[in-house]
Amino acid sequence: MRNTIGAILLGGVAVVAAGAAQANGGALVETGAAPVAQLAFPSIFGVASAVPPRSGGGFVALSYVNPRGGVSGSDGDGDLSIGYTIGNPIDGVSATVAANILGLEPFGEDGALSVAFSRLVHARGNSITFVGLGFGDLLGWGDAKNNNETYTVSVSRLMGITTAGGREIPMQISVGYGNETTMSDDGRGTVGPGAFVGIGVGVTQSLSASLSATKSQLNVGFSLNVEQLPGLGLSLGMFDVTDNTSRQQVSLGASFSF
Amino acid sequence: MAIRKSLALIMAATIAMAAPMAHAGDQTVPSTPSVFSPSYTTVPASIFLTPSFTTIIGAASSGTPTTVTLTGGAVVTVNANGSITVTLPGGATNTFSSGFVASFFSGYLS
Repeated sequence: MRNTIGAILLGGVAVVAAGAAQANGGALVETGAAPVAQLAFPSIFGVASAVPPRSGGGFVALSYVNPRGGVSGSDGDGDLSIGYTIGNPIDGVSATVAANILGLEPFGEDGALSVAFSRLVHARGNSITFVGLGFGDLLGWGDAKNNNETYTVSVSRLMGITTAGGREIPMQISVGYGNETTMSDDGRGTVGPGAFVGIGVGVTQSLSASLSATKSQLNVGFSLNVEQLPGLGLSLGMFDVTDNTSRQQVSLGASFSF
Repeated sequence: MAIRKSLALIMAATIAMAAPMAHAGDQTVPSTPSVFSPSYTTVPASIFLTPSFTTIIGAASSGTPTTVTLTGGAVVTVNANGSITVTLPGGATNTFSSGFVASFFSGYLS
């Protein structure tokens, strides 16, 4: 199974990279200096990234997945995350704290806090690298009160890859490990520790595509920046594409950064 | 500004409250809709909102030597050879060959 996931992951990356290389655009930057078509930030769907948001900025993110928990036959459900980032990851540490409403119906009955720390460890040439440490399911309420606290450690690198044609393609690679990142493949829905990896590529000025994997799941996702409303981002993805854990889910997301 | 300071204080207090925690083994069927919340996905892209991003990208892509001083005091210089040097307020420098990376890096300094 792992070989299968690896083959799909590599194949998918090739497809995404080819798409990015063919992408084009024509927007003018504010300076008027030259036509520029910077491709979208390479988001990664489905696993954690150590790349932090901007300090002094907040976000509201709403997601909807179907079926809930990936359990076939269940209704869809979602979560709402409201967060804020402080601290500079370049010469210090940034911290992003979020309150997460887990489940939208009944709204607000269950939830927990999360906090993620990031620090820049490399910045030179065509890449920068962050390390991150995140904790989740903290101070839970409702049903989430019984959840175990989670942690993830991650290393994420942002790169600008220049093609033969001189076009720069933004790319992100993130690898990490967490205590509750791997869904069991026996269909029981047990989660346990394990590693994860993800890669994202800017495909057009507003669209990025990504592949990610845990030890048992392969995830595919797309992110879209809505240019008409700066700060608004949309995402579409599928968890457990191969249904290896019998927990396949379709996900829709919307986030607003301010 | 006052609101931002208040939020920062609230968040700092929240972090302090969240520090003590225990660890755990396996658990079944989390109450969360998915193992990794999709909320993880799009937020860092907000750095692209900063005005310095488009300014730097524009200068870098045109190949025109340019110097931009960011609001935080950092100085971004687009060199004649196309590389971009970012000088932090403390004097440290980082030189990049990627306009995307240099701009994203500078976004944290705006």
